[in-house]
Amino acid sequence: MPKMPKINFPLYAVKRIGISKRTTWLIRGGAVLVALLLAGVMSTFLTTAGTPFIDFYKGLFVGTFNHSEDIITLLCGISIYLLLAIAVAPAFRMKFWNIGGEGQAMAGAIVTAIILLKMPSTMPDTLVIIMALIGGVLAGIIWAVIPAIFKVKCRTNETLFTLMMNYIATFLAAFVIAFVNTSHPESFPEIDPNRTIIKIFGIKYIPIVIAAVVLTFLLYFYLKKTKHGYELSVIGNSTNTARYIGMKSSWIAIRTMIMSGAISGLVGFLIVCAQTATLSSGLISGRGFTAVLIAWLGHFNPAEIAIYSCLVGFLDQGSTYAASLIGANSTYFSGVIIGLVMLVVVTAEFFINYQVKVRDKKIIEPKKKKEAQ
Amino acid sequence: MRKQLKFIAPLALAAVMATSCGGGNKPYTPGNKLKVGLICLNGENSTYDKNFIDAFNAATKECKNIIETTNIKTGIPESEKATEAAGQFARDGYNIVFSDSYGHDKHIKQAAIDNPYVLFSAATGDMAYSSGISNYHNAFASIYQGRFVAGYIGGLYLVNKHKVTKGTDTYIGYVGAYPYAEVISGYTAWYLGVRYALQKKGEWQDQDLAKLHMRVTYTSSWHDHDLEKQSAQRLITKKGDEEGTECVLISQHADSMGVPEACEQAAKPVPNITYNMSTEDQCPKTYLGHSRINWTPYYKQVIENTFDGLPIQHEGENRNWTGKMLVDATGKVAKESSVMVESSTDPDKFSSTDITDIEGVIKGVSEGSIEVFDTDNFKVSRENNEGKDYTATSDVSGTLEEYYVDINADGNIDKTKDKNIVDKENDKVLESYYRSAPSFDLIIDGIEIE
Amino acid sequence: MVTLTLLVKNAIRYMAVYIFGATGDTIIEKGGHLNMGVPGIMFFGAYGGILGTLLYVNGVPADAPLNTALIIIISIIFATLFAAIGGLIYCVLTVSLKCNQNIVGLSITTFGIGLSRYLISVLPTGNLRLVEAGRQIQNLFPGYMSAGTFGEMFLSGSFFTYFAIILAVVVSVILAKTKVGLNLRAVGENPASADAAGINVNAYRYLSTIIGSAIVGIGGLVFLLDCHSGSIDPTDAVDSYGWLTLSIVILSAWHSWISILISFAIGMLNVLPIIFTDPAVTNLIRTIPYVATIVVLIVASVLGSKKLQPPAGLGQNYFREDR
Repeated sequence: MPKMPKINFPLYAVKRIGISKRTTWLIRGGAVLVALLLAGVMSTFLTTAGTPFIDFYKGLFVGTFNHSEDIITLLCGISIYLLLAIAVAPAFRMKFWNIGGEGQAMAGAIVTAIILLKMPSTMPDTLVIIMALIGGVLAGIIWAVIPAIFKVKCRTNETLFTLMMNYIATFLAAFVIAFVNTSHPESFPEIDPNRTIIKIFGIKYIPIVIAAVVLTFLLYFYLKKTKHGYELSVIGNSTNTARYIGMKSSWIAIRTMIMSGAISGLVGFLIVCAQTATLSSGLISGRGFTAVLIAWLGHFNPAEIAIYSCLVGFLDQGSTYAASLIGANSTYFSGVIIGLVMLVVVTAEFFINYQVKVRDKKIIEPKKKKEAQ
Repeated sequence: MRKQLKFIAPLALAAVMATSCGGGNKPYTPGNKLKVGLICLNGENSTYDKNFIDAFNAATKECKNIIETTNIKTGIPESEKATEAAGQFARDGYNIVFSDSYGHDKHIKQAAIDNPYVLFSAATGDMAYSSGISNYHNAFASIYQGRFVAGYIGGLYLVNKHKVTKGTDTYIGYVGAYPYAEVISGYTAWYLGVRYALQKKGEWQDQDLAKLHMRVTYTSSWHDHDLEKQSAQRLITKKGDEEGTECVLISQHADSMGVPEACEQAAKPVPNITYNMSTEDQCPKTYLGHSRINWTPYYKQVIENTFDGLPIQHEGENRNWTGKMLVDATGKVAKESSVMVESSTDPDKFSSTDITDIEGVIKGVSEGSIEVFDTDNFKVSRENNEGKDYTATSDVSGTLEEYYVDINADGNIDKTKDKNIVDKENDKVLESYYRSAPSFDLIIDGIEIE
Repeated sequence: MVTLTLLVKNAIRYMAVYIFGATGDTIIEKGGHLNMGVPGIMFFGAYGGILGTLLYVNGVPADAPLNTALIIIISIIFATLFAAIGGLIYCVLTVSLKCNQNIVGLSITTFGIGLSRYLISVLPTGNLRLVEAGRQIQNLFPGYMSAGTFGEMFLSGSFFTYFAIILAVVVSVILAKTKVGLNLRAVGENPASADAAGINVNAYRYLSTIIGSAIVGIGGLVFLLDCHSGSIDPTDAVDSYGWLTLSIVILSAWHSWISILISFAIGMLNVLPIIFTDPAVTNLIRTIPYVATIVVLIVASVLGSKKLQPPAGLGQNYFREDR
């Protein structure tokens, strides 16, 4: 087979050395604006009724900020993305690709739902809720530690393992629902409202928002100020250095995944106990995967993750509402918008890390066979 | 410090706003133009939702003089997103919000609690009965009447085209979603409709009718194209190794085109009675007819009565509305009937005599001269209904005498709170009587679950 | 026996979706790309194929018959085109723009599934000629019934069913025996040495991902046009087939001919709910392929056998400048 001619693309990339934070955020902000513009254009193409372009932007803001209830729902939505993202961030820091947040949260949700439903009504509600919290967190930990152990002991690929665990968790949820509610097998029975913490002082979703804020601060502190955080960044940078210093990567990996699983499991508990009071196999609905994207875009840094969580939460709720203004299916439309913005922002990251330059010469001829003889 | 502010500021803002305003709700003043909304599980692509959407559009068009604006939210899953969608309708000033899927019910209930000045009606739900929430309603229709007539249409075809022989074991099939009342009530009525046709047109006697069997299979999903198609294929082939058990007629309680496709594409096409949609175009060889609920009269009534400041008619104290099959002065299905039945317009399948005959049955069922769940027409045995010893009683010959059902959907049968739906004196089952969502879930003799 | 025939018949038809997916993804992964965008790409291909078929059937005069060969050819062309675009986006982002593979893959999947579902939902529904096209391609051998039970079980498939099997075998041979295949595997195992040996790593990665994606796209097309015989709606779960494809590639140890057997096994598992109708049981059955994948992952890593392992460079981008 003849050697392929080396065709050099007229553009090439050079790694940037030193770029100011301001430029970075300008590029990112610009990317988001471009993405939103594209999204608006896409809305126009995809629907014919009314004034979709304007309605899209109107919907984005009306659906999120028009009433206080919408703002609270927005904060709740952001908090869930934030929690799921900071759950996986520590693992990613040490290059342990845990994409199992979806399943770990679902595991937490399943155990929470079962405890809240099945514990005898003679038990005090507060006790049951605490038990559910512990159960949910433990379930998340178990779901996360299993792949971790196999990675540490047998070097099993954690990306694929955690991915599979996600699907098993989804089917497990459907199984539990069918098992529990034989008279209406696709619907989980109603959980006693006294065993939920949805409304506190008349405002919804407070526990979720508080959990997100507190845990984000805690994680920030953990990663930046503690020895553990330092260890994570060393391992993430170079496993050789870590070993040289004497860090036990195995134990660190497991310990980090315990944390990941705990936070994800907590999300599951919160969704069931503090948001929906029910269980369904679509409970997490892909937010675990989106959270992976958020964590990556935020460079595994809680502060940046918070910003991206706000963006995604805003897009999610806003585009769901906008869909009804332009006559589109809420689920599909919001999926498209979020996906589009993610793709554009991911692309923008390239332009932050690399500068594009134009090449002088165009084609280098392949070495003739003769020369080799 | 700046980083901390990023979190605290929005939280503080939210707290301030939450305590400052009580939401956009005020009581509705009759005579003001209405804002009406509909929440759908999927969208127009789903025949189930399309049925609701078409009815909503028709009703709001007829009422356009008293309506300010309408909106349909599609793609709303059966989760807290439904509560949010309903809540957003309320905050946008909507006065009436309908939802179309059973799974929306509990979330609509929550929205009704949060927004006491908006009228919420969750179709096919069952929680409004015992909820005591005055702005939360459920609605259904006596679709069993439609199923019965649809069964009659199927049976009529079998007799006319000599697809069945009197006195031989005959099998018909049904692809159901879940083994609970909504489905069981529907297929039992359908079975009884086929039976009625064999009896009336084919002159089958009691001992012949005992040889009419229905094979039922469940898919555990309202919409699973592949499984529904394969389940229908299973019913079209014989049961295990027993000869002569292939189904000669199939119907379904499922939303996809799976079953009609299987019937049409079978090596020997099998006639098919559908639900919610006519498949005449796509399955010309096998489509016989269909039944569906017509939501337009209900929607119209809710809109008009709300505008006039009146309560919803015929709801009863439990805010459950059940639409009936109605005939007009000429004896045909009325435009305002909540239950519609149509037979195929193909003259090769049904002659004009057949059409008149079917209309006669519709009239009889709708006026009560033909009783769908006539307890003399079916037998209930203990073997087929495990676990119902406490709630169901039949006499020595198997005729149902008493059946207590979980009317208030609280998960258990309490004879003081729940109802007995058998009217022993008049030999009938009172389906969709105390509560709009069906309750009959006994397996009668002749029906075999696979 | 009758039920077994029914199960096998359906398993054979549906397994083609998996085989195309696994064959395509094997090519992609052999080159070193862990493409989690496969579900999205499969959906792209599904939509593209249906769009192409629609364009064809709408172009045919109302009473003229449809040409089976044209249906197949045109649908494949469109499916591969759309899916290849998805693969191209993946490559541009990972090879040229050096983004993390998992992230790009997930983004493409989120976007691809959402967009395809949305586009399908706005397609004119119930197009009769599309259904006619779907029905027309159902059986490659019209006389299959005359071959008795065997015929009904194994010969009732469409062109796609058999094309999938042949393609999987051909790809296996190419990957194992030809120079191109060996080069590709070198790129996937150790891109640095491959580069040093003069193999154009980027070109191989681009081409393998694009071609692999195109094949994956055919799988999506098969699901909608063949399995659902053209009667489509946006809730059709093309993406769940895409996710299982990743499993199948692992279970078949990155050999596409083995994926034929695995796909058949999973096809059989998928049709078991016809007999086991209890929803609790059905859901447990549905976890089996994923549990099996985990077991294989563990066993392979414990044994350390090279034959069962993924390509060593799977999931990592290669930048010559980083060497």
